[in-house]
Amino acid sequence: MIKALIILLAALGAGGIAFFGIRDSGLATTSLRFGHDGKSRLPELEWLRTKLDLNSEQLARVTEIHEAYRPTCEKLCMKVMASHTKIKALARPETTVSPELEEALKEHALLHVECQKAMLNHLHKTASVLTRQQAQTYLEALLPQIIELPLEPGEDAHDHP
Amino acid sequence: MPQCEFNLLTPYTFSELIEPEMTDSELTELVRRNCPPPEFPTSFDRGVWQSIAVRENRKFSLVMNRFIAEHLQWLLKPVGATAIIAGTILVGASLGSLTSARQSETVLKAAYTASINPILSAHSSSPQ
Repeated sequence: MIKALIILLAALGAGGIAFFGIRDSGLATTSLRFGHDGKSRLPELEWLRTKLDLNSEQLARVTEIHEAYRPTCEKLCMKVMASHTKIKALARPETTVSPELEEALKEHALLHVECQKAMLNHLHKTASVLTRQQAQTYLEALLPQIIELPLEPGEDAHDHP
Repeated sequence: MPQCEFNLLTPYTFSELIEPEMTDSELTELVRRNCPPPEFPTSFDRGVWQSIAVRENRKFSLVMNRFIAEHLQWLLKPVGATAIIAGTILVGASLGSLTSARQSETVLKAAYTASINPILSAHSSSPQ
């Protein structure tokens, strides 16, 4: 009885080691590929390449669009950070919502909308160089995060020709 | 009247107290007077439960032995042992590969999303 149990436990242990070994080595490969690839100028596009199975021409167009969007994204990022700093400074000493804080919150909300608009434009521009199926997959994966609302099941995120 | 001790209540002792012409109620009264409720030692309950536990363990052990003898006997053969180990390694590796692929996709997608989302970038760049 003991021997059979030992064999069973050894088998389960071996299975566990195989599971964690393969999982961790896979994740390590991903990190390595993402962090220090050297081949790709934009490692963040790796997801697009693998998920949408982009060909080299599509990847070149997507990279171009991505690089063109970068300055806009960075500018907006700086604005959001400045807005955060302002809100924190105004909110800290106050016990009530001052007119200045209210104004800063409104500005922040408008900035949020501006960011969402820029992101949506970028998504649609990127989708325009993809096939219909790729664009649908791309938009379905990212639109809910950008508009901060889930898409209804079966709803078509793809609306370009 | 002899005091009925729990362990002295043998059929012989008891029969000496019984008279042939006694009615049922007299007999009941005799029993009641001579056999007061026994006083158990405080450890009695614990002892009973321990005995039950030992029996249960023996029963579990027997069931396990029988189960292994009937269903896992093949594990004791080299082919069986090799097969079960190879099988679990295969299942573990497959699940590991699947999990790794899913987690990798999540990591890569998060990296792309962060690269196009100024709000996320601002949050990750802001000092806490």
